[in-house]
Amino acid sequence: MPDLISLFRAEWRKVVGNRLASMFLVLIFPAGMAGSIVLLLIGALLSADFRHSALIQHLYWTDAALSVWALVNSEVGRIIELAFAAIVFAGEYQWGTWKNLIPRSQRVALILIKFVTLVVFMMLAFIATSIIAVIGEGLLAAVSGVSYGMRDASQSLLEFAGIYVLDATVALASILIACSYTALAAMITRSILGSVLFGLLVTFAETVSLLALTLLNALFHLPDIIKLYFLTPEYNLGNIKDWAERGIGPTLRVADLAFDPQPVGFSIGIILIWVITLVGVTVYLFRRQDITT
Amino acid sequence: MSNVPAIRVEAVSKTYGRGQRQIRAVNGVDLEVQPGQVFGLLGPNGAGKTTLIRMLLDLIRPTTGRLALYGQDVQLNHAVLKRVGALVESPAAYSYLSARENLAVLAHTAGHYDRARIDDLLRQVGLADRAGQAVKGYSLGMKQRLGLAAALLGSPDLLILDEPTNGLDPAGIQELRGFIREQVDKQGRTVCLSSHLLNEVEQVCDRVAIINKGKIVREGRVADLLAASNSRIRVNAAPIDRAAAILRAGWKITATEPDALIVDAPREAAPAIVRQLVEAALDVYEVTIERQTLEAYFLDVTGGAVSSTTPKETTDA
Repeated sequence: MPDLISLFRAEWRKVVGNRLASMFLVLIFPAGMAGSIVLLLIGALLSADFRHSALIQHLYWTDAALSVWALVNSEVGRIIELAFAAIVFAGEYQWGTWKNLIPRSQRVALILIKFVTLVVFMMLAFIATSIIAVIGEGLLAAVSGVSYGMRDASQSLLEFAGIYVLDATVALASILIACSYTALAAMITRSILGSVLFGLLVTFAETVSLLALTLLNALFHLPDIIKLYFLTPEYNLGNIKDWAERGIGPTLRVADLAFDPQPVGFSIGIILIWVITLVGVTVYLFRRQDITT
Repeated sequence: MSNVPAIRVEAVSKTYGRGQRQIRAVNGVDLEVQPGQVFGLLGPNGAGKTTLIRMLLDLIRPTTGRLALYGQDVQLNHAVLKRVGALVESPAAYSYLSARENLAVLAHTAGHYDRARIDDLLRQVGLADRAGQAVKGYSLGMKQRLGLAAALLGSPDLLILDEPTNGLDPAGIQELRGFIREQVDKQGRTVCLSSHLLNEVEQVCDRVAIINKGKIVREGRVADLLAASNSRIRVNAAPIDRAAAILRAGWKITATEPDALIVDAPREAAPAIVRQLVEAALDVYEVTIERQTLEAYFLDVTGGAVSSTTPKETTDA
């Protein structure tokens, strides 16, 4: 355990020292949120119309807190996460620094600590963004003279905390899966750019998977093929989120077909399989890999 | 001193690719390096030196064979690498970090961060003044010094240095050679040095292995290899035509100069030659033993062109 803490300190120094990685790819989320809040505050201070707009009149701190987790799976959020993951994993190949690290520590620990680093930095960035959003929108509400409470007044703080943790966990799983694609690509391409491109390609493939399956069904009349979509991270992450928020998952509708939602346990299992498999394959490949640069 | 070799390489091969595209970078290498010496690894580009070093550091897995450091299999007991400090090929560092931060990253990775030790090493390698500056502004020589500091970071028993003088100026090269000898003679370390500079190996190393096309072609003490190498004797005597006539009866004369003869004979033949000439009442002015340099010897055993010889020992009559 002390070795892992020491390894994390090494990773921390590398990330914090790399301004591109830390400033642009991690701090961009809280900085972007702070910037947006400042602009809204200026608008509210200068314009009565803006203060009375629907945007300002319906501010809830619970929405502000949860909104950040939607950023994780947005296109912009995903590109930034993949770029950060590419620097963390492929950077060592590009800079030729694996040869300095491997004789000093176990390969398994070296690669696992990169996943930990990624998750810690990303989660810290998103939690910080969430806090800034809650405080910032609170200021906005105060300046505009509107109330700032919970959207669902009947909800207890504990219940909200449960939803917040679940959203954060789903985001964490999403980050881990996306970054595992990038880590795998880093093993193969040994390049930062190659890893980002591969990560984007896989993310895009997942996004269009339902469309592709629909096309296959239309061409070959195989309705059951649509069910393959239930195995994708995209479906299962969405399913878990819906179960948590509404108590039931989304019904999948494709053309005239409708598929009942999968149980939440199924989705949690599939996500775990994805995470364990992707991280496991990355570790396996790295353990056997010849470092020639 | 322990009898366990610092390095033991047994029947190690490394093959890349498959079928017709297969390349055998290292081919059945056996090697042993005893503690407390500077061991030189000498070979032309692509001979397999760096592949062998990378296998010793568990960066590359051997296709066959076993590599052990201090009796511990490198693959089975990775922790033994904590006793090793290495500088492999060109120095690599995080260019956006300073020298001090680079060393801190490596120290944390190894699990023994010590700020005082880092500052001390930076002083030793002459980087103390620019320790806080980003490495991207460093010259190749400065990066090489940083690499050396990184190799010494864990106070290793064994230093593996792959072309450590690359990028250093002549003064830096001399300094490094002295530093390497000091590591062995005063600090009690073992050094495995790979170099393409043959005179460097000749000057610094106690033993040397010559590697070519993935195989060890010669291995032994530098002095023994040089003694076993070809030598010839330059004889300056008068009258030169009489000297030639006398010596031709027992020796092969390979060249005649206006005032000297080149006799193809080992160093041990010098006293007999001098005796023969003196007994014939000839005036012997100078007898010089011209021995192959390690470079010429190296070229001989690796199939390169035979180079010239350089005077090494002189016996004045």
